[in-house]
Amino acid sequence: MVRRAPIVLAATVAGVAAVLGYHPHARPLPSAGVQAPAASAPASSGAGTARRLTGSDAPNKYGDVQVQVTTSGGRITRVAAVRLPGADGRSQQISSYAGPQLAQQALAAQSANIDGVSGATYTSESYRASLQSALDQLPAPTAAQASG
Amino acid sequence: MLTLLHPRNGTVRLLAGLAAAGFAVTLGLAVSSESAGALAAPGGAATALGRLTGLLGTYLMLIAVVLVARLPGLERAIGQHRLVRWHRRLAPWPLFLIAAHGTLITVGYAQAAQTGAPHQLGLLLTSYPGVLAATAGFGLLAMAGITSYRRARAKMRHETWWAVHLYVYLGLALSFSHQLSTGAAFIAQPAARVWWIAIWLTTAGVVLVYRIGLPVWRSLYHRLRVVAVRREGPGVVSLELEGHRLDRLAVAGGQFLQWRFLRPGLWWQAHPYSLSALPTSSHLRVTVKDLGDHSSELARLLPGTRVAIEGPYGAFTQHARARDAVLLVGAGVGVTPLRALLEDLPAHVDVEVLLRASAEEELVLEHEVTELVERRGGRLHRLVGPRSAVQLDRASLRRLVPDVAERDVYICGPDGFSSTVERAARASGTPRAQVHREAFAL
Repeated sequence: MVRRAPIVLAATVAGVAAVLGYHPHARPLPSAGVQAPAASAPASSGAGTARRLTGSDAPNKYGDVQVQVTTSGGRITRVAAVRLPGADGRSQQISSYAGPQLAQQALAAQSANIDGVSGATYTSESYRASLQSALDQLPAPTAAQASG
Repeated sequence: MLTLLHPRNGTVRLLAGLAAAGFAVTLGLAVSSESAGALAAPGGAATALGRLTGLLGTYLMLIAVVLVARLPGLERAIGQHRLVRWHRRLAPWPLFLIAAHGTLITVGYAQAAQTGAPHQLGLLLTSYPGVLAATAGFGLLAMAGITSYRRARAKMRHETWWAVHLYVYLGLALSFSHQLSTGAAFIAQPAARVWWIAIWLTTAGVVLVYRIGLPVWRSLYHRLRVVAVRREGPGVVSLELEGHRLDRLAVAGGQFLQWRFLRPGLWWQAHPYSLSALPTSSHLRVTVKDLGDHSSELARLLPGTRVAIEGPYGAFTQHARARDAVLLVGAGVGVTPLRALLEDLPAHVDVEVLLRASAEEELVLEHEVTELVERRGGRLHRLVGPRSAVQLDRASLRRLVPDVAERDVYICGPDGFSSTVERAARASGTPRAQVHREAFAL
């Protein structure tokens, strides 16, 4: 045992160094952007110029959510999160699948009235808030249609 | 005489209450961080259970460490023999809980992400900070658990088992970072973080102070060295040691210390041996039987060898006494703590001593014991002969010591022997609280 001690100690030090030295590669946050398929997008009729609107930063206890919306002719054509919670491993993973789902929901609903993703309650709530604040920047739809 | 109120029972209750309160706080943490919505979500139930098992398992693991951290208060109140037994009974549970934690979290996260468990496990290990280290740490804890199973341990040298157990500290340290960085209960809950860090720091502090700091300080202060080695009987030797201000070593008769002989090949392992006499201000003595490769080396120790100590430990002392009459029962070299206890018992205590050996020459320290017993007007019984010829049951015990029910019974010997005597004493009406045991090979 005594003769084996140096080998065991060396292996221990090497093992600990390897385990502690390993830094999880910070996975890039998913762009989590979803674009409306070209076919379903309304043929832009000149009047509808594309606008990019950025929502406010909506914080929750796991991190911040900020959503960017692209509209064209009064319709939402693209939704993307520019910020999603990612400070810890769990938040990163949740963001990686909740982000695209939330964007998809927003595109389908054409509003901030989305169901959210179960198991990602905080992220969904912040997403809704930021999305709403982006859409609030659009001119009132009735006014837009009246003038068009 | 009425049984004195044991101060130690109060201490035990207080400490058990504290441990239970800590368990409740930890449980509260786990529950308060969950929400009904999260529970209902896919994988929510498994994830919540996974967190719960992780928190509780870790808490119990820290308790298991503290139980054997040689806290002087615990050692005095409960005694190392019982503490080690509690540690052995408790320790498997945190291991099972932590294994469940890993499994449930993997399954829960996989369900939430709608992916397979193996893929999720890979993600956890590679992209969750600290999880790889924690998994390696759990491997170390599991090794200590597996090598402690009776069957595995019987096939292993004490030193190997001990070295594997040391890795528990490393395993726990490796597991810490992922708890705070990914633990849902700690994110945005400062009070929870403070509680968690506090129990970890307390545990680490207790281990550093009482398992390392205090023994090192005592060894440096008392500067013990071997001055003589004397043969007492077949395979039994007494070591005479000299040291500085041994009157300051607060030792009671019947206690033991962990001894580390600072000699090539021996320095790195510590072994428990009882003092076989109360120390004077400059000398103390241990008596050791050749039970394995270590104790046989001791007969060849050279005078002058320096010795490091941990302890004294053990509640096998006169402070455990409830009555003013005692029966001391020793088998073979088990007489050693009884010999020191005899010196330490107050003069008014009535003493009966029962020595058991399979042959006359194995009655070690017999002359000293005889003299001490005679001087205080006690009675000494010798039971010598093979086990088949010498019965030690209820009837024979009552014939030898008719008033055994009114005595504190101190037993030291091999486990089987001690259990036999304990059963005989209990059957004769000795209350459980009046039976005190010490195993001579811990």
